Amino acid sequence: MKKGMLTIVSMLLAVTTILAACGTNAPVAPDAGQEGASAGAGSSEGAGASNVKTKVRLSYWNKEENMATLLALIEEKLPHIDLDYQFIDATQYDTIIKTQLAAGEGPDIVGDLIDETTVRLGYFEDLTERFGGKYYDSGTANVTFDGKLYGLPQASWFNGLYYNKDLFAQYNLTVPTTLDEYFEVAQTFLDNGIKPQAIGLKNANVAMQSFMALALNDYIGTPEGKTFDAAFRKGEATMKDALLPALQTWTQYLERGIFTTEMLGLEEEQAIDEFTSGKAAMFQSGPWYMDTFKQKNPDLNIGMFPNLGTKGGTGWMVGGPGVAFGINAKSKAKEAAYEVLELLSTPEGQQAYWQDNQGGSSYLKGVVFEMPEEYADAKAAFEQGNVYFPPNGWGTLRNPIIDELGKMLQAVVGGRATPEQALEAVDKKAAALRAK
Amino acid sequence: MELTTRRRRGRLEPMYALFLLPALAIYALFFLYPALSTVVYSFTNWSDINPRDLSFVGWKNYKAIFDEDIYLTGIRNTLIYAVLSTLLINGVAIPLAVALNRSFKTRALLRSVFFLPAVFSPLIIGFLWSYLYSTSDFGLINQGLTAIGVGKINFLGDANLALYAVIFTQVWQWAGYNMVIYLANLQSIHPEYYEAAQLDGAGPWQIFKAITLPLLAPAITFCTVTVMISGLKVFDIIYSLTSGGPGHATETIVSLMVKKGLGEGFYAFGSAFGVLFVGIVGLITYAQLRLVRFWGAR
Repeated sequence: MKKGMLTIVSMLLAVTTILAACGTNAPVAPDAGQEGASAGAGSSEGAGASNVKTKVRLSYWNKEENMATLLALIEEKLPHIDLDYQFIDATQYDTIIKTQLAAGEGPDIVGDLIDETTVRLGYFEDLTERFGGKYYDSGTANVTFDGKLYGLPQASWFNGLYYNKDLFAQYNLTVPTTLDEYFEVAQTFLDNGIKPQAIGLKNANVAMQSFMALALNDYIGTPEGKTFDAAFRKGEATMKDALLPALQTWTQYLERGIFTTEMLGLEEEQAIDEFTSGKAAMFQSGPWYMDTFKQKNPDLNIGMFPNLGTKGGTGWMVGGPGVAFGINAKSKAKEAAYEVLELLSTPEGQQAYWQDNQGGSSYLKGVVFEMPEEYADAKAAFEQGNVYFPPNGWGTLRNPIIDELGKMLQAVVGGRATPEQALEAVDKKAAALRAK
Repeated sequence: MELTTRRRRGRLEPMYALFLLPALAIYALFFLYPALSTVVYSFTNWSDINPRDLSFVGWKNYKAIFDEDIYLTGIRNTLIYAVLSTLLINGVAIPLAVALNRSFKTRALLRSVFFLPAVFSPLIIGFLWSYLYSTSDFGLINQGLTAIGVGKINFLGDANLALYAVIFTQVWQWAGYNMVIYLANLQSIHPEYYEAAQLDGAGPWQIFKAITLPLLAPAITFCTVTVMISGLKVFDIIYSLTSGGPGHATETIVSLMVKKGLGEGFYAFGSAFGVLFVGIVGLITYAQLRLVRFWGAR
């Protein structure tokens, strides 16, 4: 009998231990060594005692070192807020955060993921009342739905063509202003045993960006292509009908030997090695690699010119708002999250964010950053507002279509698909996504 | 009388049966419930756009799998990967174990060297081999091939080669791990068998064929089944080495399941693909076990 009782007591203990482990942590008042007030997905707010910090979780795919200045500013200006910065790798970011949001949890401040679907599902707070009119429409257009603002766009990102100034000088070459001039420059490099452009086509996204740059110049950025993105999103236009001529032009990179099938085996980092070592003369990318260039070759003398097309003009930078921050509608620390975004929406906040993400421009009205010297050749494109990333206008189709388009471009490079077949496959995927 | 004894032997005291409850509850909560839910969801229209108001759509999601070439490519690639990696990993591990079961000076060192790749994460292996295979002038293997006049091989960029290049990295990584399992089995074989065979004048190949290989049957069963199962659910090395490319040339069942089911928000389709995948794994594992048992019985 005693043995039986002992068994029952042991079992009860085991079960209660398991159940206790499944429970949620209750808010904890700070002690001498710990200032955090709560744990878990939600955060406590207004805990009463004045020395209790409100914990706000901010998730984003940018590494913490790229947010260091802003985080320091928040710590200094908002001492009553304990900002928990959570970096999640971009490849996993969407899945992790969307799962958390679907469960009614997730970070208090969310970087990106603000689209028609997530807004319709009620994941994001309407920010119109507190932030409406503070940011330029060009930045807020993609996070505004039914006239309501759901995200605050931060410094823009862009890519153009970096070029090795010393190599250009060595062969008496000038910066090209049209695609034909680019091909002439490329031929000179090929004749002299130098790769005209390094490109890591192993990464589907890189292939997609290269084609988008040309599509922007030849169609999407022109008056007749202005409505393409919206029409494609709604299923009123297809890529094959709109972008086939641009893709056929893009295949000239292959026919002229500038891009080769060998480049399908190159990672972007390996392409950077070729560019920084002087084996390649140009490289399409953005300011986020500037530190890497300098680390690999401190003597590298580079500039950037815009992506070019067949129709002339100043060229286009592929780019747009780097990230838009929104507030989780289910956040338990909403007011504190608003305070963080209000600080971010000041010139000081913008400067702090830009400090570790230099190269882009701010969408906050009245804030202008000085562009580094390396981007002087791209100044005209910036002045004309020629900075755009077409997938931003594709709504929920954006990421899957970016991937499919990149993959199909790889197939074109590898000779396993024609331009027509590639764009047909992308249109098929888009149709399936729209019918979801 | 016999029946009573059998009953008594098979009966579990209720008090001890209660001890199973916590483990059973965890198993039910974290495995049975999600698994059964997956089956149910596979017949619905669950997606990121429609996460709540689910309705029954019959076999629609299962039919969709066979409507697109890419999913058939994924299934074909998975089968090629699983079968080849099972054959090659075990084909390398067995001779390696036999060789390193002999007594010589550097035996312990060599065992460690061959085992070492198994301790790294597939992501690290992917990063490492991505550089080794690179077609850039800095790619080690292609540098070597160019130096001996063979010329560059586009290991990961050639759609016809990429899957096999990935398989090779896995043979390199896991042959040593399986070698250790075979070594453990080899050390349990009584030396008298070998002595008797040698006295009868058997040569090394005859000894291997008639003694070593049959007595390695338990390890062969274990290793081939585990390698086959991990081959069927391959994802991480594909993800880190090729991301399913170039084009869709190296997509596998799981990479597509993750992409479509999670990344693109087709949750119900992903569930259907998952259920089908479990069926494929079950069938292949069953056939393989029957085959190994048949060989063992012979």
